[in-house]
Amino acid sequence: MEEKKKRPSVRKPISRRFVQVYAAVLYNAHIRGFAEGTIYRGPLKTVCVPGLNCYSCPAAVGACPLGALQNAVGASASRPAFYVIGTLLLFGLLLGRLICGWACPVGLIQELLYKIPGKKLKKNRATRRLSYLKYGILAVFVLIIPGIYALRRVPLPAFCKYICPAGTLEGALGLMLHPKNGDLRALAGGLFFWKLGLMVLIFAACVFVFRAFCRFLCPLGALYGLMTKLALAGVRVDRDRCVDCGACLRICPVDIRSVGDRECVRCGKCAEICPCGAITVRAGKLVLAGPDLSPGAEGGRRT
Amino acid sequence: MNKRILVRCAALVLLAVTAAAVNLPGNPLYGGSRKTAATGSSVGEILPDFSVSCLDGSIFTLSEQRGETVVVNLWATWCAPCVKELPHFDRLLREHGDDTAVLAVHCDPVTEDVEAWLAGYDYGFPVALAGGRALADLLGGGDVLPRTVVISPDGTVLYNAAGSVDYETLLRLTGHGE
Repeated sequence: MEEKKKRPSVRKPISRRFVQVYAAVLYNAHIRGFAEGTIYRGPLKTVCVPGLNCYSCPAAVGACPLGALQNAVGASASRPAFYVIGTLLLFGLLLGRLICGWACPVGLIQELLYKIPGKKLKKNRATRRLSYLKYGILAVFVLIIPGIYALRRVPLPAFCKYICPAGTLEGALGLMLHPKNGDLRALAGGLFFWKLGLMVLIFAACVFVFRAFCRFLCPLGALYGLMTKLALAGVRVDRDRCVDCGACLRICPVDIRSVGDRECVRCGKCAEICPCGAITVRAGKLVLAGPDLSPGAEGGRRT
Repeated sequence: MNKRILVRCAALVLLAVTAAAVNLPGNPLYGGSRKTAATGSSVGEILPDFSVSCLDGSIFTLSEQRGETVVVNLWATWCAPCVKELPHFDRLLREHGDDTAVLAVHCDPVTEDVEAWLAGYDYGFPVALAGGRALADLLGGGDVLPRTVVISPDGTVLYNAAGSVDYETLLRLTGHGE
């Protein structure tokens, strides 16, 4: 009888969840901000963190790259946004959407929400079509609207102002709930309640739809996704080992057309399921998830 | 195995150092603590005197404005509601400058050349840079912008609140409207 072929064990040198939590804590290390009801204003605030994390969160130590981009576009009439564009290019070309899957606090929140028991909506043709919406949001709310208002010399970070749930949760609620910020609470009006409602809707959707905000609305993911082909970090498929079984496409929770494309958030589920050990998630030479090819490693799962 | 432990230790040290630096005073990365608004900035109180150098080279001293209603606006170039309401203060000064003084204070962070930014406009009021928290805290805090402070001719604070104001509200607060 032919010996049953064993799936190669998967090597994961570090837990993705651990890195997500670590990144979220590192980005938000200014814990005294919650005690004082104010934001960090030190020199680190000029540095963008790679993931989506609101500048106005009381605990945030760095700037949000998306907020920085919108403000830079808003000021582009008077000076070019070299610093912000350079920073985003650096993040995108080095890590790309690895940031989404490993170093974005909003991604972490969405994944934790998805763990809440309930019916789950599997990806389908409609979700694939909806995934194009984030590119439209990137174009309109991050670039065009701030750009138009830049000509009028009025700063308008339109995504931050009208859509971003991270801003509502971390910034608005994070500051408004502090007892000393009565003047901020007094300013709550139609715009605040619009954003609050939208945030609730988005996070509610995340219970039923894996990473709903990431897949359909996040312009930062859209931006990093555009640099996927050039990014050093990503998902690699060993074509010599691949047998085109399609298991990777079926297990993937987001709307990819091919493994590692611009929709992929590098979660590593494909690497875990691949029966041939053909898939590797790597950041440069560092393997984050992939087949364990060391001697004696075949057949058992190794953490 | 040793490499893994080394990386984890390095990550832990980075986190600990960052947290210590941003939360504990006395180091260059500290962000400054929130101060309670200085006594005298609330409505009904006498605002303490202050002097500030303006971008046009003049010095604005509150006590030298006695006899006039003084309107101080805390703003920033990156704050859209602030930028939108600046014309109201300019109009107030142009129409009622005989008995009203206006001062605009740009709060931290300063993200661009404010003087160059203002060159694109023809505002008549003096503009000062807050240059730290002291002046903003004295006026009630620069954490929430815009903030408008109206001081009566005898130095009493008549109005001090965050949020945009329209021209009619400014007229009313300065005694020029119904």
